[in-house]
Amino acid sequence: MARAIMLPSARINLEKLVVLLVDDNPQSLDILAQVVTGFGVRSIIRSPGGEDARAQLTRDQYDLVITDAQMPGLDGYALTSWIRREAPGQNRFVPVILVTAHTRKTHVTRARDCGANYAITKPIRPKTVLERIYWIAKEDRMFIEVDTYAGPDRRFRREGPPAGIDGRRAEDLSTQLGEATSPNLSQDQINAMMKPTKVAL
Amino acid sequence: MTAARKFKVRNRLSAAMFDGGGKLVGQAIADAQAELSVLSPAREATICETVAAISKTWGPGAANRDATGPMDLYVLVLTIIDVSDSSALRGLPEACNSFCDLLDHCTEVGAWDWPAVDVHIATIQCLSIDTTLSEADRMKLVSGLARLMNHRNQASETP
Repeated sequence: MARAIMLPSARINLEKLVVLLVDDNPQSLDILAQVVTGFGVRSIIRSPGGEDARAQLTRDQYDLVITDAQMPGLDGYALTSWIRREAPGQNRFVPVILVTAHTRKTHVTRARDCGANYAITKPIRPKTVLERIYWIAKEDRMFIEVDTYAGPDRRFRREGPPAGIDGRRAEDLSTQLGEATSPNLSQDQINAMMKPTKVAL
Repeated sequence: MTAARKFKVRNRLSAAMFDGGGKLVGQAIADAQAELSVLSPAREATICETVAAISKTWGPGAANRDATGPMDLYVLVLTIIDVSDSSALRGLPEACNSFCDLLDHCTEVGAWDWPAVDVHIATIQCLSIDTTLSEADRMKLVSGLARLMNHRNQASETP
């Protein structure tokens, strides 16, 4: 699944979106709010923590949730898991962007399995945030529900580097041909492979 | 075990985003940067205050600096990352991330590594206060921390 390239000349309209921002650090919340305001979002709801965000999501419908990962009480991972399993109506499928300052070793699995669409790291860069929103809008990932996971499909097909990017991936096979590791086939062996044989059916 | 369900979901974000009107992506990013610049003085003040608080409580000269656990310091370092600006004070978020890795490890093993803590505090002080540092010097400080952490990791893996 190749991700869409976000060109500076592309036109976007975020004016009608209702965005929920969640962060326990008021200054960090201000930063997120300023960024999405710059993008043109008019309806921004700020939430100081996971419990408050859960109440908001129970009451109103949102088009995008951007939440800090590490918060006291209900953290961003648990909030996202709750959204995917228990949020009412369409909020269960609301796109979620998880924002992490530093991912502790013990939280790596939670970050992968909580059901967020994307995770980005602080410091907040407007281009990165908008790119993730753009990817969410453009992608057609399936939604998966199993006992152990609910959220966007985490498996990405390998189709080489993203469109417009040159080069091969590190895990691609080498294009260089090495020395033969076994003797060449004799002409008789080749003839035997090519020769049609009668088969009794 | 219940059967796996796999289905398409249409979200309003996709529908609204390309509904005409709005602004160009380049303009949206420039507008966001402009909105952010309003917060720069407050962000810088918070960084200075937090670095000062860290030095006072956990710096080399602090009394009883092991009275609290590494997690208290970890939370303060996270605050710096929270309010950092990637375009100003280059290298500071990377240094803080390295510091968080160190403190995470200290918590895991239940012991402070004061020499490594001191190096990190000195580095974040330098990166946050000294605005005359060139970008190359800033990156040298960050790569120094990376070498320190690699050395620590290798030493801890050696039986």
